[in-house]
Amino acid sequence: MIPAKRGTETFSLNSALRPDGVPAAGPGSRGSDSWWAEVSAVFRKDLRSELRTRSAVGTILMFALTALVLIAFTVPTTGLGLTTKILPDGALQDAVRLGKPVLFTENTETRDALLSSLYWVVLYFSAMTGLPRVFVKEEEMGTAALLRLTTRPSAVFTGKLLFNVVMLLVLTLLIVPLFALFYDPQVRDWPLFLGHVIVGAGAIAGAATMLGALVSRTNNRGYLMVVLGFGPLLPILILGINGTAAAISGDNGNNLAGLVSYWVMMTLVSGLLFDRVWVE
Amino acid sequence: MVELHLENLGKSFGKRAVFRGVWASLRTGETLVVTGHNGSGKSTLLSVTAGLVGADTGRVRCLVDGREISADERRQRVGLVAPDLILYPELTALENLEFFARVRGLPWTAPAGAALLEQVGLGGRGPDQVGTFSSGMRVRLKYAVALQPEPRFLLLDEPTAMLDTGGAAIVEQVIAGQRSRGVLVLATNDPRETRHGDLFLELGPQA
Repeated sequence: MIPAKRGTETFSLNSALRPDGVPAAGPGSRGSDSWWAEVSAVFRKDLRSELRTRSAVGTILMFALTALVLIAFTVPTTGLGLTTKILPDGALQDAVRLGKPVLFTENTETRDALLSSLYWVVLYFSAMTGLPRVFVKEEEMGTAALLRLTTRPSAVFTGKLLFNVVMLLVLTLLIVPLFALFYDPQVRDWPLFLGHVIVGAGAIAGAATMLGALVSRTNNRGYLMVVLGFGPLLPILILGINGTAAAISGDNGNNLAGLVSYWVMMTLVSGLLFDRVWVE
Repeated sequence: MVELHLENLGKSFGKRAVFRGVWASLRTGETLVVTGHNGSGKSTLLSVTAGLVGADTGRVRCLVDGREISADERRQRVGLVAPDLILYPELTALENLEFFARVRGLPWTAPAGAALLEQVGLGGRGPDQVGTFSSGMRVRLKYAVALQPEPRFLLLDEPTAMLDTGGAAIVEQVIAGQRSRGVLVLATNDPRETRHGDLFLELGPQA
């Protein structure tokens, strides 16, 4: 047992070091207004930090851009059996009758699935390389301790979740035009396509935020993030791939409700578990 | 009235016990000085006291006017200055102060922040990024962050490490000021700092 021992020295009291005009915080618990102010402070701090360092945005954007360009130059996504070019009514028959070569068919199922999968695989790996940075950076730079000391875990989680969602949505809006430019997906139902990529990006960001917190204090973070992320993100990827494939082909296949449900469920569970992960 | 009770605290890392059976009780105006050789667990004890690290055994109780405060309130009421606490280098000094004021639910104005910086000897450096600061300036800024909520529980780990004589004089003021505000825990082996103690706790090797 180590009990503290009482000394005998005494000292005079000086006035507290305190700037004029800054009232002391009152005792008692903090309300919901204060909670939102905390969330907003965490979000704005991460945004400001990201705008100055561009560590996560740069990683995600460069990975996505490199992957899209590399695949565009190495994997044929247009050509016989893969094109979605729609011939006008009777054009095929006219071409056959006139003896012209027919390079386009309407068998587009393979190409729709291929392009849809390609988009989500690029988004998944891009997100997994960049989104955990919000927590990993705090641990690597040593700022996490002061954040733990001063900020409620729920405000930390929500602020960083919002930051990741906003960041991935912005990046999605940058990646989709590049995807359209490089691969000419000829989407038949753009609202459905955009709905899936936007909601899917939000769901990926939600799951990746919690996973980022989980792996931020481990070694081999990059490896663990991709491995651990596969399970929780698989339903999002399957729903997203099927939904965007349906949007490209114009078939029925609205998976938005499923994506939103999974997103909400993942966020709620992550929020409930975050205290245990964040506080040692 | 502020009270801090460390009750049978114990902490291990793996199989190595850092400390066991630590007891201490402080009331407003009292200072606990924690001494011990390197690796004896002084910094860990302060982290446990602040709520940053969980104890394996025992508990820390923080009372204000006889009422035990919650973990949320503890975040508002505890100030900690320690070598391993790092501020955001990509933010300016004022932005750091603003961030920690807002997450603690404190009112914030830029002039008040500038006045606080002035008091820790960083007047005029508010718009500068913390990444450009020297080690001593960063410690001064840590004091500004720790003192922002007018903490009832102030924990200082190696209080004058990295500071010049001007900085050490500011720490003297802080230590003196804390006596009227609440309780103070100092982790140090420096005789110039241990003389402030009312209670003393020496941590040693654990079997």
